[in-house]
Amino acid sequence: MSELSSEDFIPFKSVGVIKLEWLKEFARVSGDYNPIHQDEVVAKAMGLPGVIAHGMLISSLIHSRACEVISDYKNLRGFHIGVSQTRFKAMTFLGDEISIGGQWQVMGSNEIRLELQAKNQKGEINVLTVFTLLR
Amino acid sequence: MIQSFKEKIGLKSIERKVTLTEVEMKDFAVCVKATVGNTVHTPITSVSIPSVFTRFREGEFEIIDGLGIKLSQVLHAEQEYKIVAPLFPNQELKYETKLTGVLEKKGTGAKLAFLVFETDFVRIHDLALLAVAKSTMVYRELK
Repeated sequence: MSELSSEDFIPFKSVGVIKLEWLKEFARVSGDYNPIHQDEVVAKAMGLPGVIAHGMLISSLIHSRACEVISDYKNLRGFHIGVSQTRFKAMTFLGDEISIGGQWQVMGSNEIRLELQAKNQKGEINVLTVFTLLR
Repeated sequence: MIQSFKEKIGLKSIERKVTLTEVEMKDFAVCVKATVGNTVHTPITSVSIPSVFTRFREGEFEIIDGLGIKLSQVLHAEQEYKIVAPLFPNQELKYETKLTGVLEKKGTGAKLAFLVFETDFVRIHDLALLAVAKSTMVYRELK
């Protein structure tokens, strides 16, 4: 457990490779059964190159990483995520390996932001989330 | 068709009452690799992270269906959560979703409509606001 400094970067860490079984499980636990996340025929009929991952799966992986990162800093005890703002910038496809990392933005003693990005194996940013931490 | 969406701004879903069990919360946490919750700095058995509210999107889906759109025609563009109080397992919640905005844009090969939905999550026993979710979905009107 360490002290937060405004210079701190969160190193990118792989959270896994997107597989159809994972998307089916996310559909079950989230209730989002949009067929473009499971059925290649439907995805292609909708003009997509193939099955794409649920944006909220990637966003949730980012949220999980954020909670883990926050718990690593002893001077963030008592803080929690008050606001999260996610932008889905690019689609995530089957076979993509997702890594998550980012940086802190310490705006003042009462305002801390954490920006995390999910990148694929090509280094393209798929999803970006900015968290505002509140005490 | 997109023009008709604008006339539906203000449309509300039915109010839903839900409870997430400990097992459901844990299943969600396992699937999204959550090991730590949002409110405490110790691992908990049923981890609640802000995005668990994605479990409650039936109101959005109901409105999308009401607009005559197939779910497969929409993509997620933005998602925001404001977390006011933590969500615990077995808490009874109620929520309803409202279509709050429609923005039309021209994309390459398709007309796009950005549909904005807002959902308030309220704890039933004391009517405390737990969270507000704002989703922006993109509808592509294919030629």
